[in-house]
Amino acid sequence: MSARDTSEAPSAPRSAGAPAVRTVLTPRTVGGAALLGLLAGIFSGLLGVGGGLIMVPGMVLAMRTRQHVAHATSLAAIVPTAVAGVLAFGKASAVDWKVGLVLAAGSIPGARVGAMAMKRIPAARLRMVFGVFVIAVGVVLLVVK
Amino acid sequence: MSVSTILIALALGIATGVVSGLLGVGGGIFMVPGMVLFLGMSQHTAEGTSLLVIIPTAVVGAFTHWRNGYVLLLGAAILGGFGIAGAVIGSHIALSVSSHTLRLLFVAYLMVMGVRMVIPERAAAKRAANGDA
Repeated sequence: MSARDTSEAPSAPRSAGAPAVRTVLTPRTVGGAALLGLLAGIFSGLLGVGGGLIMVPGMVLAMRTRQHVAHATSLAAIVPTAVAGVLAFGKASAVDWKVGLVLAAGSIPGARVGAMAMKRIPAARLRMVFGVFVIAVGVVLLVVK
Repeated sequence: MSVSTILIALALGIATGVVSGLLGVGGGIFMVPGMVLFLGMSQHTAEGTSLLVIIPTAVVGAFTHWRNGYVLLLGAAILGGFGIAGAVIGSHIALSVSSHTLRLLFVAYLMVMGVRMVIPERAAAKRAANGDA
């Protein structure tokens, strides 16, 4: 398992002056993006997540977006999606503003650190660890009442 | 709010933020279970609060990525525009089902996504080993 992981080598660290955006927008990818956005939005509103777990693989696999660009673009698309979701949950009084404030106090500096680290940390290994974590959380949620 | 609640929420927030910025996700996959399991919140309130926290977190992460030249702005606009429509549909469904049903849906989502994230790496490695395109 660990030996195989190295077959997907992380892209070489890139100097700050060399952005890697490749234009992938054609009528076909625009249609694909619209569908992907709609799907991610449904998951976002339904489950209270950003929808990045839908958008990132979708962009990488179906639209051939570069890995790093897909992660970054996903995060930008999450902003308007989450706003729409919060409005709906807020109207139903299903938002704890106090807990949200404390969470955000930690997550905002965290996001800065994570985003700066993305350039350097191999995405493949992190995704693997994250995948295992996701399954573990699912199991815990199933078992714990 | 008790001190322990604040400390747990702060730690959860930091972990969420790092994962969010690093992987380009909202981090709800951390926050929602964290709030339900450690803070004893209902599934609905945890989801609504998660969406609230995601907004400033994603703004900071996306801005940093944009400065580094990684954001496809037009792509993000299309995804986000249709994401709004999807979120309206999704949150409408979420608010009309029970907390228990919602929790089961979340677990199913975690399972599928977790397996998908682990398996594709192996499939890709296998294809590469076999010399398939």
